[in-house]
Amino acid sequence: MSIPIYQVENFGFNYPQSDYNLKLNGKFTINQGECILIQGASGSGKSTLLAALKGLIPHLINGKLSGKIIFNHQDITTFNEKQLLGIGYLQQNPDSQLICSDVYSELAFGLENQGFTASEIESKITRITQDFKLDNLLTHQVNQLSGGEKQKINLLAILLMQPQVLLLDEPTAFLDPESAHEIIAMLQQYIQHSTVVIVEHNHYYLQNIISRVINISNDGQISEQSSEQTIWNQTLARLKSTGDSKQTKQPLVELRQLNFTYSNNRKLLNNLNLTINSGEIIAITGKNGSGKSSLLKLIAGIIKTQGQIFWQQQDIATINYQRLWSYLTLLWQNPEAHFIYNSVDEELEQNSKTLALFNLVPQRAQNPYSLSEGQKRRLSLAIALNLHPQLILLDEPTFGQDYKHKSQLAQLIMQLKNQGMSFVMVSHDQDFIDAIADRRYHLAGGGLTLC
Amino acid sequence: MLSDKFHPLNFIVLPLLGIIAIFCTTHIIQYGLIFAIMLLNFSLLCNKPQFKIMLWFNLSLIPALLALFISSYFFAANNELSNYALSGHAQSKFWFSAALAMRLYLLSLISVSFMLHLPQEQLILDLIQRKIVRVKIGYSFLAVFNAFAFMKQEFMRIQIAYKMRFRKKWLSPKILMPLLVAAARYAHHLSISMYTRGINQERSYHQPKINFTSYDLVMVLLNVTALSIIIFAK
Repeated sequence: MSIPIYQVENFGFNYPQSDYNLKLNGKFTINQGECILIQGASGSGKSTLLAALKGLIPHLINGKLSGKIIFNHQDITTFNEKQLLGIGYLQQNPDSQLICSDVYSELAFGLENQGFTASEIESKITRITQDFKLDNLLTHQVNQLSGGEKQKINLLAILLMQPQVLLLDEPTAFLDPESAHEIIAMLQQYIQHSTVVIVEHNHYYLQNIISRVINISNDGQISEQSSEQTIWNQTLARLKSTGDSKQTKQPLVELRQLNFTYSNNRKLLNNLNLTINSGEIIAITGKNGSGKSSLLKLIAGIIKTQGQIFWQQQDIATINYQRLWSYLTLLWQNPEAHFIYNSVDEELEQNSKTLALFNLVPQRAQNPYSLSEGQKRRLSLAIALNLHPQLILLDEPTFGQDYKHKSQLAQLIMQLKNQGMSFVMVSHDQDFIDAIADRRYHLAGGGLTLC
Repeated sequence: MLSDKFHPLNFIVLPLLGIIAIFCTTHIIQYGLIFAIMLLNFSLLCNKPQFKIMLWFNLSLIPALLALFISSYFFAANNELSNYALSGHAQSKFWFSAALAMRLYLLSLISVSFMLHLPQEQLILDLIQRKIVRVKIGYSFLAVFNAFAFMKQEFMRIQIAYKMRFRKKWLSPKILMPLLVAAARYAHHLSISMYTRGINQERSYHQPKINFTSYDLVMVLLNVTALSIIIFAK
């Protein structure tokens, strides 16, 4: 017989001093031992719902809560902080969850708060790290770890507290595919004993562990479906260049035996050769820390080189930075890094054509930080396009984007490519790469391999 | 290792004693002796000195010290203050100016070298364990040390985005806005992480409390004695 852990009905939330009004219509129950996926478009309220399931509202996040969330037959708002420790909660950014400087202290932090003695803490940490084969990390400093390792430590720190329920808010968002699979394998090992609720855009990783899916539609309707009914591989269709594409074999950028070594003598890029032609989309994949972002910085002239990178046959070291950056620009993973004005209109210098092209006319008066994740990404791309570059370098362009927004982004990039613009994108998103890239390279061991 | 036998609070107490002694003395020989004592303290407390940073710091002080020496020698050595100092200790204009520059140099050097090597984490954890600093405040400080690397990276990205967009080498104060948003978001996630892991005042600690030992007492007493002799000896 299934034992209900959560019962949610008509959940709603208002942030203080904000027009944002979340209202989810419908109800659902989460039973003990289930692994539930909550899916929906970005901005549909999945993360807010998860925060409410953890009891962060009203203890840590102020606002007006409506509807009902029953946890273990009791209203969640009536639980105190100590009682809520039975609910584990993992966020998406591995960096901003780390409290201590070394791995052992990080894992011990939660146990110390529960009052365990030093010897109990040691035995618990030893056992769990051996179970998950992470005992080799115990003596490391947290800033020496890769993104994937950090997230595993964050997950272990929560598992050590033996929560009755585990809530995961996009746990693989910042990770490369290999690390994401490792996190899911850890979860698979754990969920035999516990109830898990996951919010995730990259849900194709989760097919083997999910027992039921809860959907939140754009208008806030809640519906449920079984794992069998769910389309796990919702892939983007391959987009084709149109006939009037101005794609030529004219090389725009050439990397000739590019080498790059960190100041600590660690060689990152080794004799790397690559030609980027106009009207071409090139994708670069690779593990976190393999040098993908450094490669973008080298092409953009941010990291200086001599005689190794050429823009239309001219060494970029000899090109004035103002001229070079009128030819190319770089877009970071976090679109907010590009926002400095108070409205979308100001960001785009009142350029109505660009506003219309990126479907941002209704948001023209809005503050850029108040946009949805999809709108923020479109706005950052629009800012770049407003500079009229010939080449745009994209760092993880689909980060935080749901299927619909990814699809819109793919179409936009393809449209710009058809107008002769080139793109080099660094991405973990195989689906997105398959949909638009002309060529795909894998960066590993300092070298590029054509896939 | 001998440095492990001392309590991290010595990194604050001993330089403070040195600074007080500097304020109580006026003669360049006294400054030299205080410098020697502080150097000895430093070598006992610190097992991995950051020589490169210290060298750069010393080099950066040279122009300021030279400027101070020249201005006090040529412009300030005849004013009332210097007359008072000269009459009291019968120093020449040269030695008066040299002592003034030396005083500034020692104050800067002692403060920076001890603070640079201060075992912040150990010290904060000790203060938390002794309930001198509240758990929430102490761990927030510790988390800030981790945040530096993240914020540095974020600031670099924002800088690059701004420079590429406006094709300028200089930066506008407007870039503080995205940086503030990133910092606020980081702090929000961090507070959720601490809350989720049950941060509270009544907690245990996996690391043993660092107790004050006879080494600390002897160290402080020796310093007080030696510095008193330097201050009061005629």
